[in-house]
Amino acid sequence: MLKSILGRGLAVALAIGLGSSAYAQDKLKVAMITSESGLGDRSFNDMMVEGMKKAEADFGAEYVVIQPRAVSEFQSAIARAAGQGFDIIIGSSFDMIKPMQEVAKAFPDQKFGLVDVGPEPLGPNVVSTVTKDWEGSFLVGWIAAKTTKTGKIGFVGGKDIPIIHRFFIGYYYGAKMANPDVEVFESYSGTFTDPAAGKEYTLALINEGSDINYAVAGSTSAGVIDAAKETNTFAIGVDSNQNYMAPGNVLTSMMKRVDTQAYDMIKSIADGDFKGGEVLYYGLAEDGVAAAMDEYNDGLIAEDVLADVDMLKQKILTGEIVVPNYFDLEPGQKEMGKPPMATPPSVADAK
Amino acid sequence: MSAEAAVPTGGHFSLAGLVKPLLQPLIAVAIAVVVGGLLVLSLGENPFEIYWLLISGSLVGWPNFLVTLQMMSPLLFTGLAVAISFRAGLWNIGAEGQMIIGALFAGIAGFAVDLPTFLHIPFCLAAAFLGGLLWALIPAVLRVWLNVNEIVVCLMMNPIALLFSGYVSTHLLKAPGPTNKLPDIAETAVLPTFSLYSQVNAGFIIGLALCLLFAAINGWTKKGFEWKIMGLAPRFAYYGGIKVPLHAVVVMMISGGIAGLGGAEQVLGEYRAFYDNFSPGYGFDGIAVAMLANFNPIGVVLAAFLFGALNGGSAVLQMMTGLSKYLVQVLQFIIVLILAAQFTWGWLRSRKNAITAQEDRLEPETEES
Repeated sequence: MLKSILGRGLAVALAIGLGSSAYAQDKLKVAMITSESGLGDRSFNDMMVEGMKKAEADFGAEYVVIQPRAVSEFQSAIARAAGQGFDIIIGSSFDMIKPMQEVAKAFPDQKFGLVDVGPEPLGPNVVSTVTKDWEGSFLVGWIAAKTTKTGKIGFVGGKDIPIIHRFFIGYYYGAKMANPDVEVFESYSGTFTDPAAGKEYTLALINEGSDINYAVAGSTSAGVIDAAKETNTFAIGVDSNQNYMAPGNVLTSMMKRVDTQAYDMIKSIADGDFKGGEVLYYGLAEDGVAAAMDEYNDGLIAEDVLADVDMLKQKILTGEIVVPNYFDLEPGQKEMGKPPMATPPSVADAK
Repeated sequence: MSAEAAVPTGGHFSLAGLVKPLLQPLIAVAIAVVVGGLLVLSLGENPFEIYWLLISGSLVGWPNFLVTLQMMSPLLFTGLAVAISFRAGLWNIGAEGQMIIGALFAGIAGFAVDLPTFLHIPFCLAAAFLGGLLWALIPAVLRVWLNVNEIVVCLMMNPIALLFSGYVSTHLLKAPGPTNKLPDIAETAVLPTFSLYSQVNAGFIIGLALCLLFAAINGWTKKGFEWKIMGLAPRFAYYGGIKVPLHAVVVMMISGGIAGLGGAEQVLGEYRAFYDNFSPGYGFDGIAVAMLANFNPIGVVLAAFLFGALNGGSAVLQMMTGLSKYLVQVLQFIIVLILAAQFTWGWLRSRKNAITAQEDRLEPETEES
């Protein structure tokens, strides 16, 4: 009874919507739901729209962007989009896991996608992705070791927790592969929200001779970038393209390519091979991570180093290189990855 | 000023008495609709189509209607909180901060305490009320004892509340995971929701009941009358034997407490945990709601419904047309601008009158009762 009322209400809304809009019936229709920060965040939301635009250009997918104002509005936004004739509804926030699961259960025929979340499958009609941040960190580690003038590079993490260690291990592995003699400093500011602490820790590393510091610390990262600007050294951004934050002093950013991930979801619908219930891993080989290049870091990285990126990608693709994932390491382990290399002291000496 | 039109007068109803308070807000809304329509036209869309989408997207069908109720829930609390204080001449623009502290208190009471449902929910609500009350007490006390302007203090208390709650939810009591939030509240503290489509919850009913309660207090009790006189002419109220400083503190505490309850509605009903920076500005929207309502609690319900419908319809509008959420926000801001202009105009006029008359007026405003 209630359900039929709900259904009728939706049908009315649907009829109104379709009657007045210009959708052709056979076009692929996508709804993208932003996180509460919305468009213009220069981060995941903006990047995902790029993926939408590409899908529009490549196979004429129509997309709309729904911007909830708060986390509490996620579920109603997803629920009202479900059953409106969208071929897929794609979300972009960790906080959407629960709401999307709820709605996906109630709409088993609607397809959903969620980018950059955890390894747990979210339901038979939901595809989700995990970004191999350790491969992205490997890449920027390589670039840093090839670019440093002092032979010393640094890492400023947020809290001293496993998920952040994973970035460090990738970074360390990449740096040591590029140049076994490079020194890699590992430090944790203990906070994800304190730019001042980020700056302190970074200045300390710079004092020890590090001239490139990788910031994996949420908004603490702003302080790392600030320190680079002040001392005219380099910082490396994380997650989204942060090059603009200090043009000339951000060497590059380890970007999670949520645009590629969203694009592939739409493409799978177009190709008829939607992978509902699966968790897809996006690393260097899948273009799921990248070193951000734009007008703000133009010329900071040597041409031949940039050329290495394709070589590394190829080697990862063939399995010649396997970047170690911190979660696979045992405390005290002495070697890691393929080709095997010595683990950093924080792992080798751990009990 | 027009505040006299706002209060429902106890016994006698007349058609004029019902229509008159609606006139000004309706004119403001009408102007906003026209200006917004021109804006839509300049974007190359058909305004009638857009407005119909907004209306159908917020009212037609249960899912849409329930979302509208969800969107209006926090505004019932913050709108009422602001209306109560403004009506008494206290410019409490700190509802945002009071709501955040109330939400924080409710969030902590929700996960840290183990109680059966029939006690846990009231306990959390009481904690939220207390949180909002304490946050409002600071500007109130400064106002009454040190004569510090409450507008400035309230305004400063808002970011302090945000940063303080941010510190608690990212450092002291953070739940594991990438989101800055407190641990989930216990099942026993959850205000139940009714539908998959909407987070509207039992808090909505509490908000509605509070609005009705304060409509009754304003219209039927001595307290309500004293608060009104305080707002219209504090000096007159003082000479009339009303304990203005005491009442001012009480009104601010009630106002803050209600804003705090709005935070509880969010935490216990919608989020099920305290999230850092959860509010997109419900406290500030509450000021607009209160102004549109002319500080009348029943008007708050109507104004909150209008704003809720605009926000609820917004998602459908974005879904169907690809227009951005900002269109709806622009519509809301136009309403606020028009109301503010009218408000300032009235204030300027009353000042001019006061100066020319050179004394406190005892004019029509106090005629009844």
